[in-house]
Amino acid sequence: MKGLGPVSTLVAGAAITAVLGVLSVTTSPPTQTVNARYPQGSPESPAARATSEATPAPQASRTARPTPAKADYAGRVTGNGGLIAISVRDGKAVGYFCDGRTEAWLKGRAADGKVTLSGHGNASIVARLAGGKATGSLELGKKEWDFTAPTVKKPSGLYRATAVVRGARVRAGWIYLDDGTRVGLTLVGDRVADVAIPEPGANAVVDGVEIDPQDVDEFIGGF
Amino acid sequence: MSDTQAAPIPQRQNLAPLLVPLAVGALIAVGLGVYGRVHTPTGYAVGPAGFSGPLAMKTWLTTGAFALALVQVFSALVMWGRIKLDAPWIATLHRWSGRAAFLLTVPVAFHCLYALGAQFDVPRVMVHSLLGCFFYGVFVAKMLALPKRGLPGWALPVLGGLTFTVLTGLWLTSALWFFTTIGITL
Repeated sequence: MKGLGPVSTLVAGAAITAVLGVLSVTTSPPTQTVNARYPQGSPESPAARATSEATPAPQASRTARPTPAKADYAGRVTGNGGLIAISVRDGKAVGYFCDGRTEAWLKGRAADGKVTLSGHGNASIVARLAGGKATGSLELGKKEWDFTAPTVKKPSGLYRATAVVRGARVRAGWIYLDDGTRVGLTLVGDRVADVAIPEPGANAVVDGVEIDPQDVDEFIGGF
Repeated sequence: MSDTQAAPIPQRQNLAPLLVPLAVGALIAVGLGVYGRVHTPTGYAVGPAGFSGPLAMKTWLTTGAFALALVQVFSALVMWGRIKLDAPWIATLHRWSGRAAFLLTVPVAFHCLYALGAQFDVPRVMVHSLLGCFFYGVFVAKMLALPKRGLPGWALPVLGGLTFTVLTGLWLTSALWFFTTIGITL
């Protein structure tokens, strides 16, 4: 009993931390190899692609790129007039595309400096997360667009609301950019409703009832 | 005069024995905070298995530590005679429940700092980040102060009370949030 002084308690805690640290450093690569696929339209030359495919797996995983644990990106999609938002929380990723007439909600994972998301109707997003922006491509149906979305801070970014108003299911999404550009769509049942885009974070009014937009931290758990 | 040296309780409050524990504790708290900001979060860390995810793991370990912390407060009150209870084993209970509580928090803090880092952009997360760093500072100060002789009488109750208060704050800003927003799941 004498040997187990308070200092030993601290030493035990430090030892556990060291063990967790060593295990985390040595085991993290396997979780990063999930995304073996390169995003389409990425700047990798065929030669570079061939080389990286030829390298043995351990080598490839050592070059695993850092993935932000928490990040919000929002920007324009080149050539279709819509906005895109991607948010990452602890390996989980959500994405939303909207041009005011159509929209797509996507979910997926972030790892190895990349996000891969998918949604209804063959919607998919592949993007590389580096240099404070998400760069990649969006696929909707059979069409594909490129985009670059820088990180944004609240109140800019992505919001979502779900509610039941007078018996009808309401689902809405909004994207706000730093320059004031905003887009959003509110569905009541399956129909697009004429609902004004609220100020970021402010309530939207659907059919006379206020609904509360949730930021990513609030809705990602149940998404 | 020669027997004043041998008096078990010094009359004058002597802060000197507290200086080193407090200084080391402050260094630990600041060091953890700086690490949490400077180190790029990995989004991944090894932890105890058997939970649906890292957040669930952390929630339950923190809840366990919080329950043991209640045992800590109770046993401390008995040891200091505030609760009359004839229990010679109470000091042992206090030591071991404290050790268990501390060790339960280690994988939690490791995941927080290594995988997520200290973040300040949401009030809950900011409070949690700051309290988390402060917690280990106070805890280390308490551990280092324990074997010192001639501490002011309030030193251990204050350090212990702070440890409990801060752990409560940590639980409220993490586990309670998890239970209310995500649900009570393993």
